[in-house]
Amino acid sequence: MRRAPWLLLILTLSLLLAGCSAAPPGLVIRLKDLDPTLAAGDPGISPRPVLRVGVSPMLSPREMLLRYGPLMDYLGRRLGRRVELVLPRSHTETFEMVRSGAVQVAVVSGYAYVLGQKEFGMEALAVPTYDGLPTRRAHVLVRRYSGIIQFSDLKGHTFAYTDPLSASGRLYPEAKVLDLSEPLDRFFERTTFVASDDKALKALDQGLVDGCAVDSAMYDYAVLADPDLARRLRIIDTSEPLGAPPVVVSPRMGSELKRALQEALLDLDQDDVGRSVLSRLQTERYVKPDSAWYESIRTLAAQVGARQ
Amino acid sequence: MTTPSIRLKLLAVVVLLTVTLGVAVTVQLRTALLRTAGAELDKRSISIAADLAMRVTEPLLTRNTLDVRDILLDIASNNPDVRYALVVDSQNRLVAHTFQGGFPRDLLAHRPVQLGDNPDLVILQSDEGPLHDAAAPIVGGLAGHVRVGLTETHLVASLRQVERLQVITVILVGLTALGAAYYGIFRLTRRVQDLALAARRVGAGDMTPRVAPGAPDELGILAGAFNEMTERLAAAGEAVRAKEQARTELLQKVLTAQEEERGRISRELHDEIGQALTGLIVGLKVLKGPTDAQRLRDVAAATLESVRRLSRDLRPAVLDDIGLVAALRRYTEDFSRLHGIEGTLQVVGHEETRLAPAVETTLYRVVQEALTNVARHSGARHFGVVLDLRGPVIQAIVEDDGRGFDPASPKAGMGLASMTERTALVGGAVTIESRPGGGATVYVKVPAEEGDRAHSDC
Repeated sequence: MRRAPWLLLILTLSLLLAGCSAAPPGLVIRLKDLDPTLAAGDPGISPRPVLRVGVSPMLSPREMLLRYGPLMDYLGRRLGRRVELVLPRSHTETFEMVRSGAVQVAVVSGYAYVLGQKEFGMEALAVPTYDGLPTRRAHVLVRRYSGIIQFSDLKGHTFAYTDPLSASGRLYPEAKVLDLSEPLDRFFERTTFVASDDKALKALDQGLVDGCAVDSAMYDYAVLADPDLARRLRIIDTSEPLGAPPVVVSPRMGSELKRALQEALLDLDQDDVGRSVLSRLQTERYVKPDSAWYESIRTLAAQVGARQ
Repeated sequence: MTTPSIRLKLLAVVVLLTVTLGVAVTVQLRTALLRTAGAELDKRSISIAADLAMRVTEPLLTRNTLDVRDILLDIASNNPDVRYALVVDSQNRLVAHTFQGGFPRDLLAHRPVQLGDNPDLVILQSDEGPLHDAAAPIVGGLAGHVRVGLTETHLVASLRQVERLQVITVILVGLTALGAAYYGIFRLTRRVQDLALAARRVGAGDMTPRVAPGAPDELGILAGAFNEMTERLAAAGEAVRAKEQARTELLQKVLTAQEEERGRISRELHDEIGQALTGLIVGLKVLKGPTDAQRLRDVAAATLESVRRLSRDLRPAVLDDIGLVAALRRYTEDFSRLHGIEGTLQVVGHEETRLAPAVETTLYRVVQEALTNVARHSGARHFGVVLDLRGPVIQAIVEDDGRGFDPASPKAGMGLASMTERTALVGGAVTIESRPGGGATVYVKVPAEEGDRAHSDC
């Protein structure tokens, strides 16, 4: 009996300590065992030939992935290739990637196509239609209650261009400035290139700039996602129809693949899967391009003295 | 093995309780903290992974691997708990990570990622301890996923810190409790020791020790009871001593009285009976006629009377034969005649009442002594004896009209001591009322049923 309290104490302590025992050993990861061949990431080897498709940034990369991902899967199935989506940071980068062959297929801006066609024989395979037309317009936008009601009011204000190779986002507003007989370098207090249409709208909406110019289809998508945007912003100017961004290929692409690709794109509205891809792209269908649709862009480029 | 003192036992209990409590609280706190902090780490790894997935989306999709890596390194440097972060694209190819100079292949091989709506969290065991590995999809998994691994190193370190503090606290509290307990127990047991010491001294016969009662708790009550007991013992001892002294004095007096009695008997035998017998012998030698014979007969008769009186004084046979009342009556008559003091015996109640022999002897002797005192000291001309035989208490009153005395004076006390003692032996008491010049009255009260400690032969 004399030892009973001690026994009780030992029993209690051992019970308490029993809860602290280690978890059963499983696979032990050796964090210090570094494999230097993986230092820069695993390039991986694809079992199938890869078709890299670059898409110029019109929306945020996330949106672009969500929009174009299904198209890539569709093309991959149709062409029997692993189609990889490449999202360059600018129209210029896309343009250069097509030129260099870093991507075989690309969705480029109308102005980039005009340039590429002339400079190295960039070839358009298909053009998406919007509201039944293969053309877009450029909208010049301001905040509704900013007091700016016409383009000339933007003088001395800040302005967001989308990309140097964008007809709607750069050529058109520059042409408007020149129309006013104002010097390009002094009309706006400050200008910035924001890369994509959605970023231009966002910069304007949040008051970072006083005006911007975007593709009319991109503006419609933005209003569709945020209906109130139309009440906060005001369109103060709209351009003539401009050729929509086409799907182009490098002149080095084989004619067989080119034909198959064009067929796949033009046939998109023929089956359910294709239609769901199109609806994700918010396009009715792809049509064969006509060089004449891009004449207005060529005119704008000539007007502002940009490279043609 | 010697039995440990209560002090030690109580201290052991206090130490045991404190240590048990401390250990239990520490262990429990550690377990609870580990669980809570582990869950917190899980939440943080999921949150960081989700945050990273948002931040790397754009640079990842635009193939800006350097930016992706910068974001990962930024997260790792801002969160000390992040052991690693890595980004894998939709083809499960490693895009960027936070390791320098290579990548631990195990991290990809041993961790299947299940991307769904719920965050994917796994606790991985590594050579650096458990890792809270969370995976978060980028653009719903279309662009790959992010993985973040949080170590428990900092958590464990802070737990250790808490544990150390806890242990220190337990030790400090334990020491404080020990000190307080030692002080309390010391005070408590000191009172017990004081009590024991005092009890031992009392046991040895020293009635002086008293114990300070202290707080009115159980020990205080005990101390009070002890003090009370000691006081009573002392008082009882005093009474015993007083009685002992009285007894010694009485013995002395009895011996003296015995010597006096013997002297008197010797004198009477020599003076009266011896002389009478000598006269008889001389008379018988010269016996001539009937007148001489008559004179010698008278002398012989007187001698016989003297012998009888002497015998009666020594032990009145009537007390045994005819009882207290008759004996006292004869004695008072003899006393009155012998000393020339007038007085009678008055009896209240049945004269035939016989009491226990010891009671009768006591009453007889006390009355005899009181009357002897009257004859010796009072110079009284009258006396009276009243014997009240009614009720359970027999009362005898002896009064005189002599010169009286102060009953409180030591001389009177000495003279009355033998009466008091004798009465006390049969459970009775003697009261004396007197004042100088005012006579004296002696009241003797004795219970009719006397105890068995008295002896009838005195």
